[in-house]
Amino acid sequence: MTTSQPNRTTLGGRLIDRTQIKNFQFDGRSIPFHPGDSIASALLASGRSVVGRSFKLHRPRGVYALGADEPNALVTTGSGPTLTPNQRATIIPVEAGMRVAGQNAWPNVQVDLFGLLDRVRPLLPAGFYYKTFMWPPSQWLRYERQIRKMAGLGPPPTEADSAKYAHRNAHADVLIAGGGPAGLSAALAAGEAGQDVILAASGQALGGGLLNQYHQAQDAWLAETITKLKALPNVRIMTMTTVVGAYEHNLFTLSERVVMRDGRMEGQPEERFWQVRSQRLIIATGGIERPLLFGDNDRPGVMLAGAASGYIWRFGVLAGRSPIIAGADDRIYKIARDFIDAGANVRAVIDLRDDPGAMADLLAADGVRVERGAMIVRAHGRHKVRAAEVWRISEAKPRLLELISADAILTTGGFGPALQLHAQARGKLSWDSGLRAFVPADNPDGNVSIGGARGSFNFELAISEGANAGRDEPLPTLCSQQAPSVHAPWDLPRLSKRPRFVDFQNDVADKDIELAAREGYRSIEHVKRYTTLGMGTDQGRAAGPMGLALLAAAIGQEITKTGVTTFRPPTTPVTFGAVAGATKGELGHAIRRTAADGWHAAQGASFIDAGLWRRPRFYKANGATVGEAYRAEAKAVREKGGMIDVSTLGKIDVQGPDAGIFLDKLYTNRISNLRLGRGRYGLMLREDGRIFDDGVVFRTGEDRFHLSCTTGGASAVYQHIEYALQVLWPSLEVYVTPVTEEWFAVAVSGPRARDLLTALLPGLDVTNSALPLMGMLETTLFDQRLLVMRISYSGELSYEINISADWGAALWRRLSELASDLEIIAYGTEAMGALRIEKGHITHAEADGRTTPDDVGLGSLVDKKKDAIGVRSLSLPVFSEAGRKQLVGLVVDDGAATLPIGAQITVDDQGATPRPSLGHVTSWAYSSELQRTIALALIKDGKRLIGERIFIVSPVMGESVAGKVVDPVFIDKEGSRLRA
Amino acid sequence: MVRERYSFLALAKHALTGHKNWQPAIRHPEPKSNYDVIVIGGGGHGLATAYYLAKLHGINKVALLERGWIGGGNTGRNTTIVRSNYLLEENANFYEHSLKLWEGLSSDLNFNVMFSQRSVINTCHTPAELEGTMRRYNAMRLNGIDAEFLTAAELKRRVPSINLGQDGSLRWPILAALSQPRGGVARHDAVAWGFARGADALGVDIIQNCEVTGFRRAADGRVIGVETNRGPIAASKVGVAVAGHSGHVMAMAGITLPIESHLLQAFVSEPVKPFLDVVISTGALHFYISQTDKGEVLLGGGLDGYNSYGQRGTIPNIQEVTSAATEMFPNISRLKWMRQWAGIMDMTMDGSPIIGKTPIPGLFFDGGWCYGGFKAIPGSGWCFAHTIANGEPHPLNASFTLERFGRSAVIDEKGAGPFPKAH
Amino acid sequence: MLLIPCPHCGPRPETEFVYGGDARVKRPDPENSTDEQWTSYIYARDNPKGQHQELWLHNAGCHLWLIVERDTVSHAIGSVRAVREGQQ
Repeated sequence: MTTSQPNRTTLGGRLIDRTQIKNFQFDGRSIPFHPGDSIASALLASGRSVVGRSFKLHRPRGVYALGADEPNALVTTGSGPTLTPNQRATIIPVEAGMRVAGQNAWPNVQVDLFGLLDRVRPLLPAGFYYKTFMWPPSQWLRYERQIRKMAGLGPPPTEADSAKYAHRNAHADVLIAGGGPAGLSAALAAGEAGQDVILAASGQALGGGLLNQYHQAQDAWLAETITKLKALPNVRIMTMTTVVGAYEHNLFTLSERVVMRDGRMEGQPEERFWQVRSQRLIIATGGIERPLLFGDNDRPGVMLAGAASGYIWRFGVLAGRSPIIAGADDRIYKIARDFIDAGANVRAVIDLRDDPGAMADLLAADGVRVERGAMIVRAHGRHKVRAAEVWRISEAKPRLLELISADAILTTGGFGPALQLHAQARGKLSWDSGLRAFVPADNPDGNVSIGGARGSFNFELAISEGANAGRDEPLPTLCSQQAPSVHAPWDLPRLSKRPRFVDFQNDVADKDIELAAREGYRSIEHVKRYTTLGMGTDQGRAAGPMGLALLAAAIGQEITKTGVTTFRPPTTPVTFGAVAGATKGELGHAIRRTAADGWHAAQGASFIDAGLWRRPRFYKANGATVGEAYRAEAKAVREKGGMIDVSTLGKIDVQGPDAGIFLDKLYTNRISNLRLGRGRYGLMLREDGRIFDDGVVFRTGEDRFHLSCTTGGASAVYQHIEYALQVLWPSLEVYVTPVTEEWFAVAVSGPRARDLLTALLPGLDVTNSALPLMGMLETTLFDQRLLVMRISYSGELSYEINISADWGAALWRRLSELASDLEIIAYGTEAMGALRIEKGHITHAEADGRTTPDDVGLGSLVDKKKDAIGVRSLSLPVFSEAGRKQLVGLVVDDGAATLPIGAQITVDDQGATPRPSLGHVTSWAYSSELQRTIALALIKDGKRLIGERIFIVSPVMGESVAGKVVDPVFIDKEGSRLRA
Repeated sequence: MVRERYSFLALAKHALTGHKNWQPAIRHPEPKSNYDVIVIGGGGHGLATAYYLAKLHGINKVALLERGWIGGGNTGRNTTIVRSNYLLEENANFYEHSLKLWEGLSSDLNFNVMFSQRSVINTCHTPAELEGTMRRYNAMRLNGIDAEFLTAAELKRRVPSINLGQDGSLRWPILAALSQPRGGVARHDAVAWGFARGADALGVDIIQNCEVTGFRRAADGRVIGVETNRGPIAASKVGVAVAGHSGHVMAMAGITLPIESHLLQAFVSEPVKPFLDVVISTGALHFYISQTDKGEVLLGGGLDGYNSYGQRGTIPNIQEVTSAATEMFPNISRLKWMRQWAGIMDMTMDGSPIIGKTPIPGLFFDGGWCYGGFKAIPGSGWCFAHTIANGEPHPLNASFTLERFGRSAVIDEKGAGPFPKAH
Repeated sequence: MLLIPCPHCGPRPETEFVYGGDARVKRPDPENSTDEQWTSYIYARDNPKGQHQELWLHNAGCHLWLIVERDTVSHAIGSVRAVREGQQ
């Protein structure tokens, strides 16, 4: 023991290494600890009482519990990229050099100026904010800004997290939540039966509640069981791991904190997030200790009695050197003896029972003050308990016995089961009047609760239930282990005007619950939401049952009728980073690259995303800005030629004797009558008649077709086709394979395209007669199958050359070498867009999910004589009504004007809003050929408006361009170029 | 019924008596045997409908029947975002009307619903997304709705914790953003309670724990009341506002809807001091984020993608949203996920709601709110009350008919087609 | 996360699948259906609370469209079969 650890005792301390003393910082002060300490135990050992402030009233907060149910001792650890607010000091192992800070206070938790709020507490009852800050109405937003500043507990990190996190998946026959006697016993039984077992224990050490006491026989059992478990290869023991969620189909999530005694290894994750599918879940999460209710019961120094003795046995720490211990069962005498043995001066033991029996008498005989039929009414002391007001309540009229000075008030109202996982798994609950607690009433999906989690707070019961559960045998019938005591921990007379808190973190007192009930908030969910009861980081563990009981009393209802609030995952808060894992950036959304991507990058391509693909938007060699580059590229294509990587377009192989008939059902136009080696542009609709996708279909064999579709639509189109085949027309014999990734494709366009093709494939006849528009040739290059399809998106003479993706880079390189002699350039999607706009070709900007073939001028592609998906819908009257948006072209008065982004179209650019929109610009470009700005647009009744003047406006940017409506095909309407 | 007004003075006065004399905000009446109007569903929409029926249309003999507790469905299970940033005129006008009602709601109800107009911002990550979002915001301006452009640098000044990702740390870096400054968030429970208190004061009977088990029909087919687990209740007009459960409630009247029920999830972190004072929504990364007045970081994403009445969170969606959110806000990675919940969305086949008459005389329907239910509460109640009171829709909801689907005259905000996908 | 027992691939997580909605919706004969029947096929859904026969495409697996019987409240899965099975 050192003087700077005044509360360290030589007794207990089974988790700490007393041979070493290290230091960490709390609010700038160096505090010693032994390895194995939690932040809370180290702070308690050093005599630190105030470690935080409450949420609303900024009342001082000390350590209250031992584990995840801690509502008070929330601290901030780390700094910069490791700054972590709201850490529960009770479960975080302290590390040498760690920086820990108190939170929700200014300047610090000891002297918090916001503590003044507690002085105006009468003005701040539950839900006070619903009743005020409304006048004058204009000022609410100003009030709100101030209120918001008060909110929150710890500080938000401001830097990016430097930690690593990992995801893990596992399967098991049995997952056991909890490393106490019940869980260990279950693990052993299941493990010895040959089952694959995962045992998840929240703490660093196994043993659960056994670690909070000294018991020779039980300790021996623990050591022996751990040895046996470790010898079983089919049992995986995970410490610092909590089962945080139970989901459907027996999926469970686990949060594992990776702890290294000697510092974390380089590259090691800080936490792991597990998803485990287990045949069964055994819930052995133990019980939650409940406090007694009294005035100012939230003062630092007030603690759960069981937790306090846990600090002795686990950490060798005395929560108080002169404590008062209160409760209503015999455990308080055992705890008192622990404290006495550890060197404390126990000031008194206060038993609610009038006649507690032998344990009380024995302790009294040893000279300890024992008050029977008495209760603590109020704590004294602000930053630290100084005394307890003890009243006799066994007599007709309660009376003050004495103000007993003490440095800690340790109370216990018994235990209730930890129900989180059972309730999350949709288990039912029933009220156990002996325990005065809800207990599991069934085994949802075969998930069984045992030990304390079932309400069996007894070592022998716990291990026998564990053994049964481990072997998947039925549990003995649960019988209440204790007769109801006279007083429930919440059913104590209010003898002090001081607030009796139920939810410490959120400053919810019994009066708040009564107020809620009085105001008509009678459902437990209403009370919870109105008072914020149980909505803190302890997930309502500490407050839950007491809140329910007080509400039931306030509205005069049986607690069984009141029910419980919903238990929502996770059972214990989990770091976002761990939930996210490594699936970020490219690992979250891969970048898909075509075979020629390396060439594009080397040539200074500026890329643009098309779904997950990246495509060259333009090549910087052709201009410094996207605008300069695409104009030059488009001009080059029309004058000489250009080549573009079109590998990202979706490609689907359709084979089988019924392939033609099948495609007739997918496309609005007829496909089955295509001749071998010929292609056709086709339109697919959704069943509601709107355009779904478009592309070109080639017949590559008698029973075989090669479909292309848009880049963005590829996966949806494939799913749609499989749906049509398997669900709508399953009797057709057709086989569909998505082959996008198997092909590399390049489109060569422009007046010199044929020259390039000839240079690539010398000796192949590519004249108009051998390879006409919509014709196809198959040959080989690099000993690979090569498909040359004569199709055109740009409106120029154009070929699409396809080769195995493995040879794509080679093909592209060869072409680019040959192209330079012909002054054919590589171009990007931006120029491609300009070229297709000149031709009035549509993309998803025009086929926006609301337009029909007629709307975009492709009505002639609909063959109404056959059934195809969506064609039936086109005969609905709605599609021939006036007011439909139709595809038109636009030109602007100021020939080369830049159009605003996302422009709307109006009749007038003046006047007040609201004013009607005629439609919107879908796409626009500067046409190098026409040397003017052109656009495509969807305009209400647009076809009738050709020639009309309109304004292209962006009210957001304050821009307006005057123009007029024209036909959507700007160049070569006859299509003579593509047939050249 | 005279109801004591809430104010700071009232609070101070009651403080003197230990808050023991507050009037109940709502009564817990027994159902009477008949009413002028029955509203089924004690969520925000039903409560607002009852309130406006009494307040604006003088119909005070109204029973509001709630199966569980008021505000216990989607009103209490959402991300509390209020906005009117819609592309299509029908949606824009309706949601803008609702937003205007929100702006006066605390005063009107004398119950602070804490509507915080902190800006709703859409970040744009690709040129196509910027184009589409700008088109929508331009349409909003033409419809008289506020809209504002923010460059990436301006966004960063406004939201210092955001990662623009222009150093390659975001898969899709933020190019720019558009904002609706009047958008924001509100306190969800307060909306239900405020409308309930207001309706109750005007004489509406709010009857909780009362489940409707069937519709009572006259020989000519008219609706003349409902059957409940607390006995039959008569009324010549019945309005159904039970979004999430529209399908099986309307099935009791023999009506099949163009609606699927899907799960939408949200979750919060532990509370921290304020660092994010706007609502951010991103299409490219599929999530939205805000910080509550309590300090919790509130996150939501897309639908789970299959029919569900599970009202229970699932994992894939949470992981996806968390990954995206910690990418765009790398400072939240060390915050802890505290609570997850799920609401059952009425997803219509065009993404737009239904407020209006049904084929059955006397039966009115309000539902199909998709993602938009919370922000629509006052507007929906206002329009639905008008429709029930007058037997005909108001121009604001005239397009949101049930029969539009029979004509395929859909209001398809996203162009997503006849699938329940739309936001 | 749902675990869907694909008859071809075995039990697989829901993330491998694409949902396809109510499997009982049948496409009417377009020639002989009224506008009402046709639009009802496109838009109307029974949307049951409880047992639901629904379509799932095993998109990251065998590419079979499956009919899955699932309870929309508890998510318990009953029978699963390929759509084609029993239709061909």
